[in-house]
Amino acid sequence: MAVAFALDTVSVGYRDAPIVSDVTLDIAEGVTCLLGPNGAGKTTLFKSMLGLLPYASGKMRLLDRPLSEWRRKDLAQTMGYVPQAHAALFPFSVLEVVLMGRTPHLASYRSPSGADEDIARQSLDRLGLLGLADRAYTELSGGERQLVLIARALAQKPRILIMDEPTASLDYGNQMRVLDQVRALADDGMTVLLSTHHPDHALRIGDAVALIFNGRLHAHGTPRDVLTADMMRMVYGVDVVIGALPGAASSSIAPRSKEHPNGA
Amino acid sequence: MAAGLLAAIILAMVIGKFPLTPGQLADAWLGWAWGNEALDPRIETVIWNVRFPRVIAGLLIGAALAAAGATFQALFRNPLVAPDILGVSTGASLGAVLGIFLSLPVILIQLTSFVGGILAVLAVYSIGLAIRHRDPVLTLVLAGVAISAIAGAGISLIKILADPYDQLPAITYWLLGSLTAVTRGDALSILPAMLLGLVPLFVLRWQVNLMSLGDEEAKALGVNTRLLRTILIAAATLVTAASVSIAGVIGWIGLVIPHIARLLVGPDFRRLLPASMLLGAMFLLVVDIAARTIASVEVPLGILTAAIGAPFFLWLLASGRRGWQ
Repeated sequence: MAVAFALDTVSVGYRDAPIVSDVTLDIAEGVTCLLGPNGAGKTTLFKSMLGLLPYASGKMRLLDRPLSEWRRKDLAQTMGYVPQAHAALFPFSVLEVVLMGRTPHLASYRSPSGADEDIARQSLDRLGLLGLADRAYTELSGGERQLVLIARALAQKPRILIMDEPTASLDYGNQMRVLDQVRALADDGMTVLLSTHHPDHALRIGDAVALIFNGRLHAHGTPRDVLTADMMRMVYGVDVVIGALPGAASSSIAPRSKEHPNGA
Repeated sequence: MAAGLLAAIILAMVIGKFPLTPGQLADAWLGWAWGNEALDPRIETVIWNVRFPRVIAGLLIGAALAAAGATFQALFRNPLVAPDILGVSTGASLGAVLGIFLSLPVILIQLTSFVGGILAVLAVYSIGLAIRHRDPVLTLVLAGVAISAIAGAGISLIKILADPYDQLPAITYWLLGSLTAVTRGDALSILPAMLLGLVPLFVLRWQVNLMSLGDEEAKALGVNTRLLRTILIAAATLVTAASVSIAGVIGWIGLVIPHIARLLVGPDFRRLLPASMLLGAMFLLVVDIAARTIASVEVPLGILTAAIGAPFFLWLLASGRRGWQ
């Protein structure tokens, strides 16, 4: 598979005290899940990859071109970013928020056109949010906001989508729907890099898993290879069992029962 | 809104110490349009040399202050921000007060005021550039507080040194804002600065929305935030400095009017900018009518805008009808 984004011995964070060091990682097409404990530096790594933060050292290449050579606008046409759901100050309508995703495709002096509005509505429709179009973003629940921010990134029509814990504030149903959407986007040719605290999610939709631990890229590979019981114990300090429930589409991870220390 | 503005313009033209009838006003306007002979020269003078410049200046300044306020509220992501957040009003005041203290002619006082406002914001902006690795917006706001304090100290010093019978009342009156002394030349002289400031705001009205998401998100959506921020600050500073230079400090318009506009049309800057400008123009005209009619002497505008604006603002807070979260 083609490499969308290549990191070569990249360190992010402050130069004298990097948060994550020496990451060498080829992000291929499909879904890559980034796992790691709280504070591991996942968000910092994302922001560095998006050109929002300077990084300490190393080389980054986006679509085989050094990241530093990309103009801000071209970068935004190529990479979409879904930040963690946040409170907004002014009560923009949901449609206006999603329209903002069209900005990289507009000349600086232009306002969005009717065609842009159509694209924004399609993005909302794809996530089943068309009914919210005229609601104020500030009045939505955290989960709805997160979905709207995903719709905004879709309106951006990027090749690569970077999502910072897109399922963190969602209820179980919305988590599953977002994961299905992410899978569908990847199947349509979009490269997705997302961070998550749920190894289950990586097992469900991930083509690859990257695991950050102790300031390093600790492991990288297929979910089945990386997410082993030994790895879970080391990284999260939890004894787990991994397996597919009868009828389940993918494996899941559950804490091991204390009464059966040797499994089953 | 446009009808309300037109009504305010007509009222502002006919009401005053020398009351006119709408008929006389219409005669004068039609006479001018048809090139007829003048009617009563006294009426002509009142209309063209007294009221007309005052109305034009009121419209321009009201619209400009509201536009600058709306811009800064989006840029600084704070609904409590007024056009003088970066010290433009205090800097312009220091310039004008210095001009009055040195007994300069009016035109030079206007110039020192304009330059003072621009210099204050340039100082704030340079500090913002010099201090790196901090949130750029927060740095600007804090630098604005510091520069305003320095300029404020300068104003206080000059007030103490000023002649208490002649200069001090002039300074105090100027610091409260007024359209009394505005001439047709004044109204024309600020027009270039107004256009130079308002046109970029209008052209970039969509991008202003993105600035209200914050620096990182705007960047991630392809906005060159540093360039855009510089342009927006320059534009808002130009129009505010131009306003202050001929009319003194008229507070509260830039803070309150964008709130009302936001309640009416929402936060999208494509609609918020024109709505703020219309409301600001209308509000200042109405306040100016009150200023020259409620007492035998003219009441400074700053007193009235605060007396009307502040209670209204408190009501907005209490009623929960706010255009922000």
